[in-house]
Amino acid sequence: MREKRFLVWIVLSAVFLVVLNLPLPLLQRAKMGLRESVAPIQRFIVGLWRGGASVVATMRSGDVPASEREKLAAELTRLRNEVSYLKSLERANARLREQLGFAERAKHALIPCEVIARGDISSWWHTIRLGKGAADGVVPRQAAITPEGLVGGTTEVSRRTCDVLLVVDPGLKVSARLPRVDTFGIVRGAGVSLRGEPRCRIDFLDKNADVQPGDKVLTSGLGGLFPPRLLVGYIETVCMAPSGLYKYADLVPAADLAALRYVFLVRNSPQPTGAEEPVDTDPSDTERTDREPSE
Amino acid sequence: MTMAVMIFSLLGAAVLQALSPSTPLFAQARAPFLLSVVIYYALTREQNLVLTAACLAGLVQDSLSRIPLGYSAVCYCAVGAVISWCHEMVFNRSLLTHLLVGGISGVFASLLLFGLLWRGAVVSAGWEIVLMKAVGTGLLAMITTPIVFRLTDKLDRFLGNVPSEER
Repeated sequence: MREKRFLVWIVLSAVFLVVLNLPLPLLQRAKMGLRESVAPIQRFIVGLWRGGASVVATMRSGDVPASEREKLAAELTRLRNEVSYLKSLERANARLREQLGFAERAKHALIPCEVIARGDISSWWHTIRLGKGAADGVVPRQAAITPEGLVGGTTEVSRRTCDVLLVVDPGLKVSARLPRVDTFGIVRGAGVSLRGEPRCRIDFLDKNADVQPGDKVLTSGLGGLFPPRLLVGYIETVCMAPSGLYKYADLVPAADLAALRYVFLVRNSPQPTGAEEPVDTDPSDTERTDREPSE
Repeated sequence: MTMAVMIFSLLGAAVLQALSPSTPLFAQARAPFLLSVVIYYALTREQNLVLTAACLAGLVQDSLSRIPLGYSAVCYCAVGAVISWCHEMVFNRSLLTHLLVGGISGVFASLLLFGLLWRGAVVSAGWEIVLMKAVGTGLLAMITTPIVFRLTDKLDRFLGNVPSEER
């Protein structure tokens, strides 16, 4: 009996040694296979949960059925995004006509996705899982946005699902620009505060730049992962780094990360030279907002 | 039937763990239902079942998260091994045992998993975050372990998986 037990442990240790040292693509394929088999259960549970919630909502308020409101909310999100997209198209069109008369531009198509799971099951990362994957044209390193602003970037993609690493995760870094003072910095996640508020931080700001609370932070487009001019958030507090070489600031993400339900992935496509960026989550032309970022 | 109960418990635990809210106070720690299933098998069953439960729980957790495949299984097997080594020395059906074993296992599994992730440069976190998460997981495991133990035990008894002398 004792020998048998010993043998079990030997075999198990050997298996683990092999598994932990297998090539990454092979492990990834096995993992994606397992995830694919669990995804229908997740979808079913989310559907069940939302169904129950809508029944409760219908019982509470009699006039419009909850399912109808759900559809209208989804439609509104889609239309808002389209309006935002069309506005940027209009601006780009005007500029190009002014400068060149005519220009052919490439489009950034958006992939609408539903959030099927929130948060990493192991709790070591801030992620969401979307119900679309490689079969729908999703690839790793795509920007995820809502009409309010940047949400994060795709990481692991299986055939029917993908994971998005949120901007509040310390593992995600975004090259950013403050348009009002025209300075650049690197945004990285700072997790969630004890009160559950998502936090980000922007580092390496020019020490002479007059950065003020409420300044908008947009993606710069440098680095290639995120298209330019996506709204990341608003500056909350500005500090000088202990070394005195640069400033850093706390940032409030523009997107409501706690209430994500539909997210749009930006299809990676070549950026036309000199053209205005087609995806623009910046809701106004002013470069500084009067709203309190902590609200 | 034992395997059917195990798979059912693991899937249920995975769903509950995925749906359970994270706790901002403890660095987003989540209720470790999968770990509690492993603890149940480690306290009540022979070693091959403990290892099977630990491996399956690890695979489910890894496939649902960004953790590289195999890391959680290593942690759960280590926890399962330690508990099954000493499960004959404790009152394995006492609530106090479940609370203590749950708490200690939660902290131990969190730290071990972080060690593996840190070694593989998969995650970076400050020591205070790691400590908060470990403590949070331990406290949450103290809640989930007695619940999971009772539910799975009831199911096992209902289906006749528990040997008659233990009834």
